[in-house]
Amino acid sequence: MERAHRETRLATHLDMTYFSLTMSFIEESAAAFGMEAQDAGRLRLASEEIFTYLAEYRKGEALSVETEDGCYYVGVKFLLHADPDSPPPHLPERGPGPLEPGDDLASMGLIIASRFVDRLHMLEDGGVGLVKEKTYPEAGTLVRTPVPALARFHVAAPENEALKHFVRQVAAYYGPQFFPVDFCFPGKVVDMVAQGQYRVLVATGGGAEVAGGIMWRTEGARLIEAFGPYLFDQPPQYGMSEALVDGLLMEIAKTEAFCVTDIYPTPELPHGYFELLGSIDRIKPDGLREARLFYYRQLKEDPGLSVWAHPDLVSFLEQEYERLFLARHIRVTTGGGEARPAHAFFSLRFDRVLSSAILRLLWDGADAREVLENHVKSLRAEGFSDIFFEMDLAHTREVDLTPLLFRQGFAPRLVFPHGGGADMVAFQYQG
Amino acid sequence: MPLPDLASLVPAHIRKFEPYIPSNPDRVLMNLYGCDHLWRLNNNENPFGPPPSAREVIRRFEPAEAGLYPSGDSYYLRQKLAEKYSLHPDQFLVGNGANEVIAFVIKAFCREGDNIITADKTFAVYEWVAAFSGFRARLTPLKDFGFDGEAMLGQVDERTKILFVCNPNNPTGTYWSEEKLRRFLTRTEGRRIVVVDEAYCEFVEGPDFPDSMSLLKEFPNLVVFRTFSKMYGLAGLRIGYLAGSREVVDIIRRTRVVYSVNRLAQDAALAAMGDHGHIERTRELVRVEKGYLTAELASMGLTTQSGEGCFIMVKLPMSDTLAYRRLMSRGVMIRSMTGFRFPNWIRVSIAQHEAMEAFIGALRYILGERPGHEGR
Repeated sequence: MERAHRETRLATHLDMTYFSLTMSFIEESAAAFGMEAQDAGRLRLASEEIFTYLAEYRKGEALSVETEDGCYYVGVKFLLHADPDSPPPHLPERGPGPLEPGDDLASMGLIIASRFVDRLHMLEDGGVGLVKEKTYPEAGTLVRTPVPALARFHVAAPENEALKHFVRQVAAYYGPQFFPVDFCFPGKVVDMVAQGQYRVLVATGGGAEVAGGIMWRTEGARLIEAFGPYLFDQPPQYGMSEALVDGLLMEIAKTEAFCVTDIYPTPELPHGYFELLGSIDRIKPDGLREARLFYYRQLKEDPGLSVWAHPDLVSFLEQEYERLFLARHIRVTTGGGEARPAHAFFSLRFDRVLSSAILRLLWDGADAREVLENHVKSLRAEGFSDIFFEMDLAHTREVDLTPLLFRQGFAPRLVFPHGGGADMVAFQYQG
Repeated sequence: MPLPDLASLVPAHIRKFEPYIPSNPDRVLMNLYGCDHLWRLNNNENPFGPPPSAREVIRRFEPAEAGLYPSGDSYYLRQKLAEKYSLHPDQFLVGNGANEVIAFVIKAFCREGDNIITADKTFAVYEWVAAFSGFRARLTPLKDFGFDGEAMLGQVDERTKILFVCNPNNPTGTYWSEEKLRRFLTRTEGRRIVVVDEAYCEFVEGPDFPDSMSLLKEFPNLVVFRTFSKMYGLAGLRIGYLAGSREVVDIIRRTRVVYSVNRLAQDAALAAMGDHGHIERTRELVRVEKGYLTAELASMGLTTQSGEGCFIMVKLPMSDTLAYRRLMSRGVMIRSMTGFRFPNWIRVSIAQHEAMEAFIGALRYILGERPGHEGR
């Protein structure tokens, strides 16, 4: 059951006169949403950096601050008001600029802010969104509760206690590489399900014993990310893993989503349902790299697509499209030395928990190389081990960054069919 | 001019609704998938096309007549239908394909807070029309691939207005006998509208299939849907109809879009109705080719679900959407069934032998050759 959405709004200006007012508003809102004082304080610290950063570049402009009670988190959005008549409407006077400490402290503010929150992302209007999760108690000592093999079982969404038991069982039966870190906090998972962030199905027997389950979340409108399926002592011949995947697919079959990706596949993932999309490298806690496999399946019939590609990316795309049996017409871009705006602007999404950052081009500009280089340098200095760049093959201005990405040490890893306006290519920074 | 504030203009149920994206034209698909031909086995079309009598009407159509409005209520076609089924012309309502009459019925009887009931794995348009009209669709699981009448009745509440039964069911081909339909109608006590969608009834060879038109006298809450798209091969002209008691049809008529059925469609449908040889030829082809397909698929060790109708379902040991792409690259277009809530199943329309052989050949190829990538 999803709970009622709660939010507060403040209309103010990007002027330091309103700094304290805005910070109090954010901190008090977080407290009103049930966030503990320490977490609310960290949210305030991040917000201070963001406000200062924005006030530097958009001084005096109107600002709306929205806070959202996401049940397991508090979100803050700093929204700017774009003027539709002045193209480009919300291009900052300059990009984030050099990010060397001491060189441009305002831009560094974004990085500093990310230390205090769980996620940070740039909004299309040049504003910024923050997410700070609430603190939950850990699951405690994990003990496997044996479950008898069930020839007959029922697949359905669980009640809260069954859900917490399922999450504990997952953590007890599987290694940490098989589930998101949220599973270490059963109460948080309950809140995330209540908030609609996760959905879950569990398989139960006649005695209500939970014998397995599968979880998923919506990532954007077109993509579902799944975890599992997880089985506790269940033999393959009873078909529980197939029933759980069937249950997931039936739940999402008529949604807007175009495909589902299993980002935490278990050995129990049944054959014949998913295709191997590819892999990315993850840095393990011991510092070693491991390849993380991504399985996916489309939910709808692929209508075929025309995509743009820089000549340097064509061979990768041809290979992937042939391997994945995707019908694509690749149109190659031709650089003609066209004039570019002075400054490029990249959006950033940080995830402190996963130590990952995702870059995307918002506006191309002549200083794209310097800006990208500085972003990467700063992110690495801040300890982000996984740095990605997302490229939408619908937009030539993004596609034309391909040579720059190669030069900066990025390599194409995954193609997400219909992941954006066309297919989306994920590049990973290789160092 | 800025974009209108769509968030405030658009109702939530429309924002949430996932639009149906029809497939691209053949030439575009063939170009993308790199094939020099395309067998369309995805829409259950009649491989013979329209009957000869309807073809003749289409051939003789005077271009000048395109400048005139058609009969707004398909006058002559309703007369002919009344004559055929011994009913009154006002008991029929003709629409731009059966999809349009589904919308007429839901609009006529549902208001905010109402619901309709149907199965979870059936023709999706009942659920779609309810959803984008802002009404709830209550879905009951199929039982042994067929509609579960008891489960449907168990879902009924005070706000239930319509129960939709697809008979025979698309895609499973199961059907309710006359006895079963009668029992169901009796249980509803005339308190709700029961729609029986008989889009594929002309394909049914089972002797116990209901004569729904004759049941209209006995059950005034019954509404029957029929189409000229399937057996009569007029899918491209978009024409279907409903039949019911005069009182019920009089209500539905109020929500109808007048002049939505063009003149050529009306004339072709009128001509097609009298062509009994066409039905026999089509049934024979379906019988023979379904037998061929069933035997071939069994020899490949595949599970099938085949009942009445011009289609067959096949369970694959691979993702149905992957199978769609791989079969497309070999010039065969089927319907993937995840969207029907049948993951890893495909539905194949019965067509001429050459097309069936092409499908079997392509399927053997994609199942026999190990994919060039590791799948799960």
